[in-house]
Parts: sequence; structure tokens; C-alpha cells
Amino acid sequence: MILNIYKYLAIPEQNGKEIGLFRILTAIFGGLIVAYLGMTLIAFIIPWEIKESAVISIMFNTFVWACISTWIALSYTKLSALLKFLIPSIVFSIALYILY
Amino acid sequence: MENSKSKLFKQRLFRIHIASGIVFSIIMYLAVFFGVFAIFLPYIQAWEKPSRHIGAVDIKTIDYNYMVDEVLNNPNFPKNNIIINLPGRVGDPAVGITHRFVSPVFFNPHTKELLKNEDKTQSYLAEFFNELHYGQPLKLLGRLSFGFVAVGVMVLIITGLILIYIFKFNYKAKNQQALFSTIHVKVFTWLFLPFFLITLSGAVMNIGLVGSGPMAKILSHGEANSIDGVVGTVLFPQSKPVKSSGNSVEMKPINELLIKASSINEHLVFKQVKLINWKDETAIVEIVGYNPYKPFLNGGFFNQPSITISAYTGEVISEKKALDNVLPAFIAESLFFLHFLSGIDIFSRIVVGLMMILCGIAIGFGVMLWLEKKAKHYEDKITFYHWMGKFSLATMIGVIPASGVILALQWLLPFDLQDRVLWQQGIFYNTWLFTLFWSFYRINSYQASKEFFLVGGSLFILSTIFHYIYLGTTPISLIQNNMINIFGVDAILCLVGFCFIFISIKLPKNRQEAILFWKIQKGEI
Repeated sequence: MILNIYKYLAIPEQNGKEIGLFRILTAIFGGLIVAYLGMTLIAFIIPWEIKESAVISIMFNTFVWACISTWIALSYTKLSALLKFLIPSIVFSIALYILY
Repeated sequence: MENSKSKLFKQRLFRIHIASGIVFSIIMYLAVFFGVFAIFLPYIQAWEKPSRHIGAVDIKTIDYNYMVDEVLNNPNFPKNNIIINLPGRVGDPAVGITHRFVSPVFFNPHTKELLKNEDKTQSYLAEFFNELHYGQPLKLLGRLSFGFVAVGVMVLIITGLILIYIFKFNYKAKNQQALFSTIHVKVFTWLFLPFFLITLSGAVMNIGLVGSGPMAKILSHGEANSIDGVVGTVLFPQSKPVKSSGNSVEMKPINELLIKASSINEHLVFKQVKLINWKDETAIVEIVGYNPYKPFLNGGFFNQPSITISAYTGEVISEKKALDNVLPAFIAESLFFLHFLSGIDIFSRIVVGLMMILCGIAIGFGVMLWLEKKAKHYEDKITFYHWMGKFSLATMIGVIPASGVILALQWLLPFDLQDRVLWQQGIFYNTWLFTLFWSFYRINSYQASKEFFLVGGSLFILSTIFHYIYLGTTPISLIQNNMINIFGVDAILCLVGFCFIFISIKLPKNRQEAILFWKIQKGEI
């Protein structure tokens, strides 16, 4: 069972003429979560006052969403697409939890 | 292995660009189309209302104090923090006196008379175009979907740029498809940057701000519920309230204070005056303007230079220059600059408008390229297109006669008609829907689009004729009475109308002719 899921995720597709529902969903929603968490974190990292650095976050979070969605959708295998969503969001969540 | 990886990458890149292009193109085209109207919103706003057919006037000669007294005679009007919108602000030739919580009152700057302002149920043309531009007719759903489309378009811009970088697109177009591709690629190679800035600011307004609640909560450690609570003091700084003394005194004339303010900073163009503690000993006026010599950095929402003067003694209290602000405010300002073009003259507006028209055309050619690639050919004679072709014909070209109808109805419908705006907008939507029917009814799409251009162009020209019939005047008398901005709208509508009719005559009648047509345009025959 788990091996089957792993195979389904890790074996690259024959061709790239179809994007596939898995990639579309991971790209749109995964990209949104990663971008949102990342941009929230950026506001803490930029060495300005929160009220100033938050301007950068809201002005660019949609653009970052678009970038990360593209980055996820273009990955070689489905597994790497999933990891590109999971790893950053977990890291960012932990960092935000510490800073909060 | 490495080879197949790069092959997969390229295939996916193309596929993402094509698939999201087809999904987002229609809404993006509409946002661009109505956006061009929205660029000229100030001018259309003055054009659409008979009460605004007033000649331009020097703001330093108007008796504002009389108008403020008139407004304050109404016991329901708030007494503090009154805002005066000076004539010429967003193209409005009237003086508007308003407050955050009440609807504005308008005065004729020449005669000091109260204007009979046409309200939202009588005239709502420019603002309606603006609402169509960002999806407001469908309320939150429309705004969110237009915002989502803006994010999708950013994906398209990113993938498109990588595609241009990886593939050397061959510019020697051999057939129709290649020519469409060339136009699409060339236009966006030149214009992607302004297009990107405008799309990004659009996405921020429709999605970024709507969805910023959780981020605000995290950033403020649970204190603020909306992003205003976090960044409000940076982007929208409020002056501290001044405690009133309770002694009623005579105020200096506001136009004299304007003259004084312009002697302090002669580069500023004033657009608004805020009255604080009016009629009190502590009364101050905050004169807000913009510096046209510092584009991208001031004049929009976030960085407004101002001069504060005491209305009792006439001495200057403080001055905020165009560059007196923090870096984030400038970043926000320059990001939104191309989108709002606040305080920008007509020439720059026309330049941005033309760039956006080109982008719209390039989107159209992108869709046509996809349709040509998808088309099924039977025995090299009969060509079938995807149904999407008919749908995009109705939305992209059909919107032209529909807009022509709404423009013509603006002066055809009597202003005292009940539910005037409802009729106007209803007929607009129905005409648009009718074009969908018509594009299926006419099996030959070339013929349908010729007809749409012809009808649309004629309606644009008719709307200006109706305008003059309603006014009972001539273009020359408009110019003589200092109403060049209103005459300009008529002139541009006429010009655009003739362009549409010209396109309608020039367009090919059928597919065989079309293939020839594009070759002739390239000078091959």
C-alpha cells in the first residue's frame, strides 16, 4: 500500500503534456500556503519595525504565490512537488510558532 | 536521464503556459478592456454628467468659505474634519465638500451655487466600467476570482519569460500560426514590465488585502484583526487630533491660504483641503497635493505631500515634502503608481492606455494561436474550431458593441427616467449576451466579428452625436467655454469608433481570405 503510493509519487510521468490534477492542486493550494507562511515570516525577519516590514509582505505575497506555484508545478516527480510544499510549510510554521 | 528531465521540464513549461493561458485569458482580457476605460475614468466621469459641464477654473480664485458656511448651515453635517475636494481633482470640475461619514455636496465654482448632482441611480457610467474592471458586479466572488486571475497571469508572465529565454522564437513568420505567435511574443517581450506591475497591484487589491486577516493576526501577536491595524500607521498616517479651545473666531479665506501654500512649495499641485476645528481658535487647514516632478514616488494613496497652515493666524505649522516618508511607503506607492495614475496628465494616461490596448491585443492573438493549433482539418477543406472560439469571440469582440450601447444609452435615456441606470446596465448585459447568440448563429466567425466591429464603432460615434443633441450645443462652443476635457472624450470616442469601422472593413471575410490577408500584411504578396 505505502509502497504503491510511493511508487505513484516517485516515478516520473512519461511526458509533460498533461499537468495532472495532483500537480494542479499541490501547486495552487500548496503554493498559497507556502507563500503565505513565508511572507508572514519575512515580515519578522526584515530588520524593520513590524508595521513597516508587513507592507512588503502584503505587497508581494500574491507574486510569491505565483512564483512558488510555478516552481511546484514544474518539479520532476510528483514526490518532489509534494516535498516542495511540505518541507517549507513545516519549517516556516515552526519558525512562526517560535517567533509568535 | 538528464535529457528526459529537461524534455519533461520544457513540455510542462509549455503546457502550464497554454493551459493557464486559456483558463485566464478571457477574464484578463475583460480586465484590460474595461481597465482602459478606467484609465480615462476622470474624463468620462465629467463627460457623463450634465451637471459637470462647467468650464475649468483657477482654484485660487474660488470663495470656499462661503460654500463651507452653506454646508455647515445643515445641522446634520459633521462640524469637524471636513474635506474640500478642489476642482480638477480626478477630473471633477466642481467643488466637493464632504466628510468621511456623509455623502458629498457639490458646488459650481463659478456661481457658488449648489449643484444638482446626478446620483448613482441616474448616472453611473465611468464607475460602472471601473467595477467591471475588477469584478465588482459579482461582489466578493467577482473580486476574488479577478484577483485569482491576476495571480494566474503572474504565473503566465513568469512561465512566458522563461519560455522566451529558453526557446529562441523564430521571428521569420511563415504561416498564420507563426505570425500570431510572433505578435504575442513580441508585444509581451516589450511590455511585460508595466503589465506585470499593474497585474501585481491588482492582485494585491483583490486578493492580498482581502486575505490578509490571518497574517495581521500573527504579525501583531493576536491584537489586530485586519491588516489596517498593522500597517495603517505607515500607509495611511493620520494627523493627531488638535484639542479645540472653544473660542469662535473668524477664519482666513481658504483661497488665500492656497496662494500662501503654493508660495511655500511651488512644485505642488493641490487637490484636497482638510479642515480641522473649523471656526475655532485652533483651526488648521491641511492642504494635500502631489509633486508631478517625482512620479512613482508620491501622489497616490500612500505618500501625499501636504502643507499645514493655521486658518486663524495664517502661519505655516508644518510642511511634508514629497520625499519625507519611509521606504515601505515608497515601495507601495511605486507599485500602485501605474495602476492608479493619480495626478497624471492626459499624455501619460494615453501612453499607458495604448500599452494596455497592445497587451489586450496580444492576449487575443494568444487565444487565436491556441485555436489555430487546436483546429481540426477535414480533407484540407473544412476547418472546425473549438467552441471556445465562439465564446471568446462573443466576450472579446462582442464586448465592443455592448460598450457602445451603454455609451449611446447614456445620452439617449432621459435623465428623469426611473431606474435609469438599471435599464442602461440591463440593456448592456443583454446586448453582450446577444453577441454570444449571434456568434453561434453566424457560422462564419469572420463575418460575425466584422459585424461586431461595425455596430460597435457606429454606436461609439452615435453616442457623441446624442451627447450634442442632448446638450443642444456644438463642439466649438464647448471649447470656447473651457470644456476641452469634455470635448476630448467626444473626440476620442469618435476616433475609436472610426478605428473600429476601419478594422471592420479591413478584416478578411473567410478563412481562405484570412490566410492571404496575413501574408499581404507581411508584404509577401
